[in-house]
Amino acid sequence: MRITRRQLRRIIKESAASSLESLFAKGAPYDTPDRIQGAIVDIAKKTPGLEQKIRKILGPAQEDGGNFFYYLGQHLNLVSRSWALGSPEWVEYASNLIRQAGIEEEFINYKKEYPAWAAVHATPPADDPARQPGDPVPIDANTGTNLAVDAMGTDDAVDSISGDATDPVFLRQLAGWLQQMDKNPAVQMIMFNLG
Amino acid sequence: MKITRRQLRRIIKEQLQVEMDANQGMDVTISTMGPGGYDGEELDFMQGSLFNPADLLKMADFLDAAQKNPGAELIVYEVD
Repeated sequence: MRITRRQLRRIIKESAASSLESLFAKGAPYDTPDRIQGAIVDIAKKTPGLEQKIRKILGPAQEDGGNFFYYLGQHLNLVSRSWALGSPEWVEYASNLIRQAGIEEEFINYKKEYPAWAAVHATPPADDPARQPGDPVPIDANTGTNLAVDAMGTDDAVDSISGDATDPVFLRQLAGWLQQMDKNPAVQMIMFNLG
Repeated sequence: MKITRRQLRRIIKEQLQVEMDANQGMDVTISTMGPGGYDGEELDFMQGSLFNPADLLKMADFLDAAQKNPGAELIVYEVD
C-alpha cells in the first residue's frame, strides 16, 4: 500500500498526539496535578519566557505571591476538582495546556532526564506476569512522591528544587541543595510540599 | 534504640539551622520486601527525614541497594 505525504504527516501527528495524551491517563507518569506541576516548573526553568506564556494562557490566580509553582498548583488543583483525574476531560485539558505552551517535545522527553524515576515508575507491578527478572523493583508509596522545596526569603522564593522523592539522584541533589540554602543568609525558611 | 552522646552530637550537627515547614509529615520509612511483596518478608528497612541532608543521602544509598537486592520484590515507601 502506498502512503501519500499527506497521510504520512497525519500518521506522524496522530502518533505524537497519542504519546502526549497517554502521559495523563490513570496510572501514567503524569496522572496527578502535582506531577504535571513539577515537570512544567522544571521545564520553565530551562525555557526562557515559558512562565510568562503559561501565565498568559491560564490567567491570574487568587494568590501566588509571584511564585510560579504555587500559581500553577492553584490552577491545576482547581481543574482537578471539576474533572476526575484520568478522565477524558482531564487528559484533554492537560494535553491542551502543554500544546498551547508549545512544549510537547520537552514534556514527553522530560522524564528521560530522570532515568531512575522513569525506570521505576514504568515498571509493571510486582505481581504482573509481564515483569521480567532484572526489571527495576517497583516502589509503592502511601502518598504522592513529587517533592517541591522552596527556600523562602523575606518576600519571595530565593531558590527552589523539585523532583521525585523516591529517585536516589534527586535525593542526593536535594541534600546538597539544603546544605547550600542553610548557608544562604537570604533564606528565612525552607518549605516542603509533598504530594 | 539507645543513642550515644556521640551519635546525638552528630545528629544535632546535621540538623539545618534554618526554619522548616511542610504540608505534611516528612518522616519516611522505606522497606525492602521479599517474595510476596506486602505479604512477604521485610528484608531491610530504614527511617529518616526528608528535612535532614544526612538522611537523604542514606535514603538514596538504601534505594540504590534495594534495586540491586536480588531477593527484592517490592519497595514500600511510607511517609508519616
